[in-house]
Amino acid sequence: MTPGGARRARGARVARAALAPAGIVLLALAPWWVSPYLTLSLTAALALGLFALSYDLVLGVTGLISVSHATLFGVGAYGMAIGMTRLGISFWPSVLLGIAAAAALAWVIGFFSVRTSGPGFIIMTVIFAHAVESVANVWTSLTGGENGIVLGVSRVSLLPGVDVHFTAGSRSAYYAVAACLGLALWASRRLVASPFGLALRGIKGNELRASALGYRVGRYKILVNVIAGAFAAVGGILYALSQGFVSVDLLRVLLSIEVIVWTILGGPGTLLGPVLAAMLMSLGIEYLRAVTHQYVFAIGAITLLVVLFLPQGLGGLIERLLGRSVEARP
Amino acid sequence: MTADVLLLQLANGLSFGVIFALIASGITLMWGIMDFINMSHGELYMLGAYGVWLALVVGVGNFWLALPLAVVGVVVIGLGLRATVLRPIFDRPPLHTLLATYGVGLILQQGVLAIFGPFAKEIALPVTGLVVLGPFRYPAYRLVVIAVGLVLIAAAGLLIQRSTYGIWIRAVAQDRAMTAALGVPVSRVYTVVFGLGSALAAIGGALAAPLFGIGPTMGSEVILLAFIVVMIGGLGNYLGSVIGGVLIGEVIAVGAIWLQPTQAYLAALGVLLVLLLLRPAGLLRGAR
Repeated sequence: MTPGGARRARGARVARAALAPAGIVLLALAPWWVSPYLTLSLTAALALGLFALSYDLVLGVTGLISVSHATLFGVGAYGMAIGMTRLGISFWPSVLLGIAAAAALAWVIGFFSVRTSGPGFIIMTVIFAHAVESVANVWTSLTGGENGIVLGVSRVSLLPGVDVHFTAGSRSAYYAVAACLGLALWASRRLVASPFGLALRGIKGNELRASALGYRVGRYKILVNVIAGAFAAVGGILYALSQGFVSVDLLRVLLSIEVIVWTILGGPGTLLGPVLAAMLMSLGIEYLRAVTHQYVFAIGAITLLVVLFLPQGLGGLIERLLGRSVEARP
Repeated sequence: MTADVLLLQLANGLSFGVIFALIASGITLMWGIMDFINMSHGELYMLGAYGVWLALVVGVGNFWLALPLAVVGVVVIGLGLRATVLRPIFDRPPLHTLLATYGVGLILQQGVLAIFGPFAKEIALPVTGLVVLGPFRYPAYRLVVIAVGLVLIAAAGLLIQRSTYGIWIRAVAQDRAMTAALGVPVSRVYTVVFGLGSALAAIGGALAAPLFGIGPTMGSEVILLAFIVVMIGGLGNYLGSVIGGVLIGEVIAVGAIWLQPTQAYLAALGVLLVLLLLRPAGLLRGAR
């Protein structure tokens, strides 16, 4: 490395060391100086960040292209909503029901999809995603169809004396979702660094070699889909709680495609990158939704433009704008 | 249920199956030869239906004149998309082509929605009347769909099997680099494959239009079944997609005697899952 390169690398390290606490402080203070409406949007964005984080374990870490991740996000939310409003069970068991339903579905999808490799895996996840979306659309007695399900949860008691209020623009909801995202980031980092994570990265690097070394590649793929599915379900549950209702939009194929775009924009495998990209993009889409009816068209155009012009993500864009390569991240 | 109902639905299943086969064979061809999953294939089918409707509205008097016009229109759109969107990302990983074609599909769907509105269009049956078929009388147009569809599928199959382009297509599918080294114009082969796949989907949409009506989401509704058919037939297997199409058509039609449409879709998914357990490499793999 040239002396200039070393200086630049040190500069990047210093910048990152300063940026991270600044970002955390900014996020921590945000609900105190933005409007309640924006607080609500930010809460939703954090939940979608958790969703994108869970998908990064699948796409970024393991290299699996799944087009059914929003299915798990939505099924988690629906599981909780159905538990509370249709089965009449209380809050925490309903949350567990949602997570269990998503994990079980992730296992089923994984079980059948890993039987086919490469493009077959992708198409199987597309098939499952479409099938669940169709069922959610027509089984209105269970899912509420187009109207969705109104949750009617306004207060959740975390610990004695510590309540989270799920009302529009609530600060406690914002912090609860942010805390869950932080926990999930920590857990994901540990997971990726663990021997299990090493095996996942090995599968991404060279699937054939991983299986020749004795790793049961199919089982790892199913397991990572189940773990990420449970994380996605938590994201879906938090998103639904912050919005106050569950709708078919949460499990559409469209959302599965969006999370792929966010992951590419943020940098696959970086964990934090997709979270930040998801937050930015979902706030942008929220804005588009408010100003135009054509936001689905816009999502299509964004998807296409990202593939054509930003395949290296926002990191790649920054590198190009700065005219040099930013230090590679671990 | 009487035997008549079952026979009637078996015949209906064949007409559904031919339409599914027309869509699925294009998807399987594009994968087998160009290594990419066309997520916008359902929209090409939808455009075929709209094309026929549009041609009839602007004054083309005859359905059988409108159909080739619609197919040509869709092929032009398809090749335009290939030239502008897909060609630049042709050597990218499947993830990128998947996203790009999905984006194109959304744009086409939303574009049609914005131009023609959300309401379903209908066109009259181009062939009316009933044909006496053993114990019951059967709508003649459905028989025409079956005949025309099967003939065109067979023609496309023969093109792949027998013509010079067919030999090139199969050579490219086996080894792209080697084929290119031997002087085959690979890019032109891709154009032919993409055009052929687009044409088959458009024909499917045009034939389906008088039966099922026309709407902006008809493509995304049929794509689930089309992908199930592709997987049953074995990805990249042309004959497999035809047999799979007829099989799923029969499952949907016979299932419709007892089931709601979505339940029939799930039955089709069930058939796929059982087959995946029994024959993970596709229906015909190993039998060829």
